[in-house]
Amino acid sequence: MRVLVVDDDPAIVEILDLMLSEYQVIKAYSGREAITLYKLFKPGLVIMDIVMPDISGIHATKEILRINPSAKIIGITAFVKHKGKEMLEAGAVDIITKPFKKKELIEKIEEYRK
Amino acid sequence: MSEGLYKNVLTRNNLFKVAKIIAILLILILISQPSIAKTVYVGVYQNEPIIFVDGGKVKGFYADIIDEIAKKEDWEVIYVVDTFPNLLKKLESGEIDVLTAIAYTKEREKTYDFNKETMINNWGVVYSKEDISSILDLDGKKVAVVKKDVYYQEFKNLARNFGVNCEFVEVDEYYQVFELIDRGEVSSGIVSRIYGHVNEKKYNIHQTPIIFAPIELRFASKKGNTWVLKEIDRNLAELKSDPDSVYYESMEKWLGLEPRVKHEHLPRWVLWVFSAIFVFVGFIIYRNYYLEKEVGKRKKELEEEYNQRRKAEEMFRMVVENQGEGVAIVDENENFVFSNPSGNRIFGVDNLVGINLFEFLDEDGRKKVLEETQKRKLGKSSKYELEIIRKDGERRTLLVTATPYFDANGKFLGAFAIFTDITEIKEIERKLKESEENLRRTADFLQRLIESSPIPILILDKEFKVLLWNKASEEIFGWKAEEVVGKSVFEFQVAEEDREWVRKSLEVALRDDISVKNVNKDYTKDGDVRIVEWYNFPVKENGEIVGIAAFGVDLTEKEKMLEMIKENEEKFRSIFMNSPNSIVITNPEGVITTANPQSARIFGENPFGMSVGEIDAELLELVQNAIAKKELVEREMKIKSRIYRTSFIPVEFSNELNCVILSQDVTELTRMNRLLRVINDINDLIVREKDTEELLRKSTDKLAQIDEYYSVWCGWIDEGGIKRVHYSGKSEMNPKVVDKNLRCIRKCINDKKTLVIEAGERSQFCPYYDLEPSTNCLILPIVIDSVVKGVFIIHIQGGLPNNEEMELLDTLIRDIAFALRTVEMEIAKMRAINQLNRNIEHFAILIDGIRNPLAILSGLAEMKMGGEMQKTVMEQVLKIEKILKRLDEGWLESEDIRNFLKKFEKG
Repeated sequence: MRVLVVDDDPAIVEILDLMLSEYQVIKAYSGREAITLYKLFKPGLVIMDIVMPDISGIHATKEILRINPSAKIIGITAFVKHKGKEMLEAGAVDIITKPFKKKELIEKIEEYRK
Repeated sequence: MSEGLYKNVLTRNNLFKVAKIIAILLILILISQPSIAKTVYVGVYQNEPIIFVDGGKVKGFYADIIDEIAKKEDWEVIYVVDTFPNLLKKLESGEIDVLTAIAYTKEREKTYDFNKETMINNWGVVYSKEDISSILDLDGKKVAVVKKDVYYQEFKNLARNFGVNCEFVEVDEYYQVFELIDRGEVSSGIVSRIYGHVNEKKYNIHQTPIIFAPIELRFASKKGNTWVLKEIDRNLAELKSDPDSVYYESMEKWLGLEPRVKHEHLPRWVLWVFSAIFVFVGFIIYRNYYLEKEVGKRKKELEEEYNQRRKAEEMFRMVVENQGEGVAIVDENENFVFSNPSGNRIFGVDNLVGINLFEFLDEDGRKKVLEETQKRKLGKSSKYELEIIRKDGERRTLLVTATPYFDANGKFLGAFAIFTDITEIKEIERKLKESEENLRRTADFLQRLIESSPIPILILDKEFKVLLWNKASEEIFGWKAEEVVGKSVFEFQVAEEDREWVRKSLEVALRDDISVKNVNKDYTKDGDVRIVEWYNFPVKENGEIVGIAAFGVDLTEKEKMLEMIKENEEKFRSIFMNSPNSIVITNPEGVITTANPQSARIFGENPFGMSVGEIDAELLELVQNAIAKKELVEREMKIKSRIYRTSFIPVEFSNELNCVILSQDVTELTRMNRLLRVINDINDLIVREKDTEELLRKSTDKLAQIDEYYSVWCGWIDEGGIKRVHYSGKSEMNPKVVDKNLRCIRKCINDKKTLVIEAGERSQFCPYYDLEPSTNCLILPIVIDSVVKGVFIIHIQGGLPNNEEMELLDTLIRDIAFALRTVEMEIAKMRAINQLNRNIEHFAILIDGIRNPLAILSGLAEMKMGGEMQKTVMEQVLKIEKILKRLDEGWLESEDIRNFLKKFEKG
């Protein structure tokens, strides 16, 4: 399964790539790039940072869902109270808070993969 | 009169002749008694021709008889002449032995002795100059009578029985009766028929149909003094028995009455009887002296019987002929065979005999008579009314009492009728009935009038007890008639304080037969008091006052109304005099005729006679306009620097239109109204305007719109002084800065109160020193949080503001100050919220900035490290994470505050 991971911090993208080695990870470093890659690869799941410069995770989520209303997007944030509610309202299926563990991450992906 | 009756009279007359022969024989055999002269005092009064004095000599019928008896009985007669009443007294006292020409009555016989032989029959007759046809005509009239005269007494009884009420004028002699009638001093008079018969021609009077009381004239003596009477009786019987005696001569001479016995003849059977008596008497004379006595006795009895019958016949004739009622006999064919004078008079003919009754009847009358005659033929008598038509066409109504008469064989011969002319009675009855009907209708009408009268009507007796109490009285006073009838009005109705004088007033009405008017207080059943005007009239019955009729007018409401009018007049006068408004009244030319004290402010102290045009030409024009149009005209006018709302009211006095000018000084009111409008506008600004300087500028402009606010200046205090924010007004004085150390400014700042500086009190240091001297100055502080932040300086013309205006201005400035403070607060609040938002965002970014590297560290430790190092790093990551969670909670609290402030801001 292809998993699109999106974060403006490259280190977070690399850590996510490490943790999701069993999946085909597609890396994106902005909201705009995430939308483009989603159109190209049609990933089964998207892990999207909420607070990003340029296009925020919330905006990108709305756009991806406009492209594919059944797309499954899990938001990641350092401060769930800040923008977390807005992310869910935008269409995200769940939120994972930073810092996160591999096990927690895999369980969430598997949960939504079904 | 029947034929049989005449037959009897004739028989008696023959008997009389025989008796006369017997008497002569008896006289011849009687032994003469020796005579002794006796002095006899004979009472004489003026009753011509019966007895009277003429030329010093006593004359008349009685005089002749007395003289004749005196001659025979050897009397020395002394005539005592006096009035009849006096002679009765003298007879009682024995001053006279015998009284002549006195009527015999049973009543008098108790006092005097009477002789047995009647001198002559007489009866009473009514004489008059008037047309008297019945005793009823004498009702209410004056009738002359002789005192103690028997006819007077009898007539009095008769009149009483007929219900006739006469006024009797008593005199001493009959001639006085005739004189009084003749002079018209009385309506009628009563004399004896003989006196009347002989003397009526001397006077201009006539005999009426009223005759009554047939009596016998005799002689009378004092009780027990009977010897004179016996001698009179003896002689009188003798004289009466001789048709040629002095008795009959004198009767014819004085009375003009020819004795009917003189030339009449006895029937044959009587002649035989008396011839036998003659033979028998001669035999007795011859044989037995004692038998003579028996014969004499028998003779006397026969004579008495004869006399009685003769008298009866005479009486009957007299009664029939002098009857006021008609007496007539008709045969079986209704032809009159007899009628008395009254009968002739009633039918209007000289003599009814020979005339048929039907000649006087119309068809109905004839039918009636035929019906009645059928009854007669059956032997029935009846009484009925019959209308006859006299020859001259006059209709008369008769009341007829008819009795049949038959011959010895029972053959119907006709009817005997007594009839009375009841035409006048019928007319009187008709009038009486009509009068009674009228009276009844009038009584009914009066009853209804009294009952339906809206005013109280009472009838009281002489003790002021209620006899009548009408419905209006019940309604006004509350008592029902049955509750008060029989009670004195002074017991329950008339108020106690008025009782004494009201009683006196009513007593005067009763005593003097006058009407009186009272206005007094009366109680009602509920205890209320009503003021009633009473008109009291004496009530009469048969000419006698029997009570009071009282008619009331309830003045209570009227009195209250008058009182109210008086009170209102005083109120209106007070309102007029004390009105804060100027009130003047002008004539149609605008000249002031009436003015109240307040009018002096416009028209001066003595405006009377002044034209309103002298004050303002428009005033006169408006007065004339209002009067011409007869309409109310209203204007707001400026007179002598004041504003008046003036009404011109056309009012009619003394038949000409005047004008009431009512002027209300609305100067302050007008300014207040303008101020209120300005305050309203500024309040709108306060709500909408968020710029403090703009708010002050616009408020200054609005205040300057008030005409009297000559200039409005607004400044804000800072260290250099009070700096102008805005100015608006008519003045050119517009300082940029006002020294806050000026005495007036300092006082205002220190006191934090509005300061009023009147014109003339201005300091030379005042920047407005050169301003129009009549303007007054107001300095109004803008106090925010107990600190004076600025001032409004307002210069006003046309007098200082009143208290209400000052209060309004103070309130307005306070509102502006509050608004300024509110705007400042709003700005501060917005700044705080914005800062808070920024802080929250920044805080979130910081937390995010920490968690990102923490997530990298945690990930690297999990993915790249192992053993103790991984454990140590993860423990440190966990510690940092705990700290971050506390920061999360703080952030959440700040977020809640921000949300609350957002809601408050929206609210």
